[in-house]
Amino acid sequence: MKTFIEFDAVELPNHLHLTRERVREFLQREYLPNKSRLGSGFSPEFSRLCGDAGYIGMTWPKQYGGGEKSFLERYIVCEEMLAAGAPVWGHWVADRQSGPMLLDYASEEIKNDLIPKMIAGEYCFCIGLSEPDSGSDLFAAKAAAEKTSEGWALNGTKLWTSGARQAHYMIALMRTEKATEDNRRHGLTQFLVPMNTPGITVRPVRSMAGDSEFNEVHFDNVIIPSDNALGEINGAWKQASKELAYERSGSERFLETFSVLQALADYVHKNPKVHLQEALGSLVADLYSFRQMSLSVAMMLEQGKAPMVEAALVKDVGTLWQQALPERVRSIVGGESDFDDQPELRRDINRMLKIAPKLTIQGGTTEVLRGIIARGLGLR
Amino acid sequence: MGLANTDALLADAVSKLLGNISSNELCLAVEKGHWPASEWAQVIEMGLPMAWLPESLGGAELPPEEGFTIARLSGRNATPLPIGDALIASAIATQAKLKLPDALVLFGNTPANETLVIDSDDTVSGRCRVTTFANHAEYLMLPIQTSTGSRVALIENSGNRSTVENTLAGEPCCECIFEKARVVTLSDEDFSDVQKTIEDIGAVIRSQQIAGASEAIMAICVNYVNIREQFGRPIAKFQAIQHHLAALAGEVASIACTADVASLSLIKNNFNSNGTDIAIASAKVRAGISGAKVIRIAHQVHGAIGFTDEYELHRFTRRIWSWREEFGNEMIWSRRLGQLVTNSESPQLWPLVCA
Ligand SMILES: Cc1cc2nc3c(=O)[nH]c(=O)nc-3n(C[C@H](O)[C@H](O)[C@H](O)COP(=O)(O)OP(=O)(O)OC[C@H]3O[C@@H](n4cnc5c(N)ncnc54)[C@H](O)[C@@H]3O)c2cc1C
Repeated sequence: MKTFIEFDAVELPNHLHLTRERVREFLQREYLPNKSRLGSGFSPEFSRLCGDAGYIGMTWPKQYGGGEKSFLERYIVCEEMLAAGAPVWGHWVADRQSGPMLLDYASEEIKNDLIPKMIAGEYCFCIGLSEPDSGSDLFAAKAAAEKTSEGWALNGTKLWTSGARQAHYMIALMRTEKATEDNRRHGLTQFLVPMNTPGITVRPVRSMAGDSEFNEVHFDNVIIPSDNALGEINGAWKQASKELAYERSGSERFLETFSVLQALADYVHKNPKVHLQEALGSLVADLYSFRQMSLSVAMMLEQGKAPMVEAALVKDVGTLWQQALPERVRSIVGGESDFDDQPELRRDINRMLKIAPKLTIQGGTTEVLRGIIARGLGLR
Repeated sequence: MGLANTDALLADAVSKLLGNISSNELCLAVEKGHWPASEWAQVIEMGLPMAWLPESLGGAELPPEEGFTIARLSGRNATPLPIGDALIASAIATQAKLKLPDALVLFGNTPANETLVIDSDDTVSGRCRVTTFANHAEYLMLPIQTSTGSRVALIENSGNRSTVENTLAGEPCCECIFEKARVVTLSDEDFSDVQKTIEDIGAVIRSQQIAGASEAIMAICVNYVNIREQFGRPIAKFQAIQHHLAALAGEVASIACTADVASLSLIKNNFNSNGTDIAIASAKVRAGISGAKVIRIAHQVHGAIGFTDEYELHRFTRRIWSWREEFGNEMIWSRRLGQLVTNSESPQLWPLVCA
């Protein structure tokens, strides 16, 4: 039973300040002047620039072209990109979780084939977990893979798949056998699926924020090679914890609405009233704390741990906070007499309000995360 | 805890001592005016309040992390003794190079716009505020104005006091009024930013104590929900309770992590707070805001028992309420942080947050 969940305070080694400086220079040079053209979502062009600069696969083995750098160094690069609002989503999934997954479970041939191109920023990955009837309950997945003489045949539907239209590959969770009486987690396997395989149809789903970030993906007798099964057949549940720790603890779990906090700082800079400064300071302190916790998980990953509970905690507090941020900024400035004269600030708030609802759903809902934490505390 | 270089053996010994002496009964007795002299003697004997002071000045000269660990453990045990405050005094003594006696020494702050001076007969007269237990302190440390600058003085605490009032924690608090109190020692060097130094170190010590108390509360909650049964099963099995405690864990972890970061930051800057402002402010803001959430959840999952004075939860709750006000509450530190951001030429948040 764990009653103290420990997040060691991380002191960044000095040489990492240089890394930070270099990312900032990179963003100054490659991103800021072209901001309007590159946008803030998917940009193959920007992903390739990141690849050239060595910012993808930073922790991966040199053997495949990786940087063999520390998780902390990667962490710094990622947070700088997000804080600047750079269009990282084209390589984000590949860099964060698909690459590490392939390195752990794919064949040598696949690794030699794919990893160098992922590192170059040429391959975009998507995650195929959710389905129409399987959301929080991943073990209810029905989309199936059946062993055939040619390899595996995939049939079924994945839903909410972010970036499926842009992706070159999906890492898909498929049912390969029925769950057993005593283990309902049994029977699922992960697969590497090339998105250009015949039989795959992708239909965009428009979101309330006005984009079509997520999609519905149909598999109609999609044949992939035997080699594309990743890790243990029927045992995907054993491989999930590290991947989820990567997915949940990063700075995207508290930085997605950061721009609205900067907008508030700019406003208070022009209107230095004490009550505004106090409200701003309180939010900055929140950000400072959550960043330190997230950094601490990066350190645990660096030490080879799989900090499931800690990652769930970071995501829980971080996402609730970033979700509340546009509301809180609104409540701070909304009653000021000159609020009507701040069109940019209002636009920022509105933009972030529109994405806020998703932040505590994607990648595991608040309720699911709390279940994981409760288990870690010995309550379940 | 999350500080590197802490000696596990020492932490164990401190935990054991504080665990032994910090009972709910003792807290209730202190609230009624009892001074736990023998318990304090044990704390002094172990050198805890003098952790930071060099041996040459009468201290224990432990690695700097240990002082923060001691503060954390005093919070984890809700020890009804001025350990945190004595630690703060020893940090100031270290900087002022003042030798301290083996006794209770606390730091007194003068009210704004009042200054203390030394009279020709080497005595001081005036008043000061001390957070807690000043009525039991044998010596006080005070900021003193001299013709050649600011100094820190150690005086005998022999004066009369205005009424002693209990803090929310049930610990005595008063204003000290002294008439011709003898100056025992006076620092040699100028120490003009002593007030800020006190507030900074005090804020981090209080954040550590709140972190410790929050950790203790979490352990109490986890234990309680596993043994308390309703509707035929432990209440831990109800999802509503699980979610309460998961949320509690997030608040506790954020308090503890930020307090540790602020501690490291002070250590790295040799207890001079330049460059550590955002870490300190964040720690005290976090402790104040998240501390209140910890308290709400803890009492909710306990039902009525948590509201009794017999059950131990209240002594942690009430200490958090008290500690969050001292050395700047979360409103004051938020304002300072907001001003730090917006008083600069360009209010760029991100570089500040990861400085
Ligand atoms: C913007 C966005 C992008 C996404 N991208 C991807 C992607 O790329 N790939 C992918 O696979 N998925 C993706 N998802 C899907 C996401 O992972 C799921 O939405 C999420 O896991 C929840 O599943 P659901 O939507 O089916 O909700 P449900 O699971 O039906 O949940 C509905 C509500 O019930 C609650 N609930 C469910 N079970 C429990 C329980 N046991 N106890 C208490 N409460 C419970 C939930 O917390 C929630 O509040 C994305 C979602 C969004 C919003």
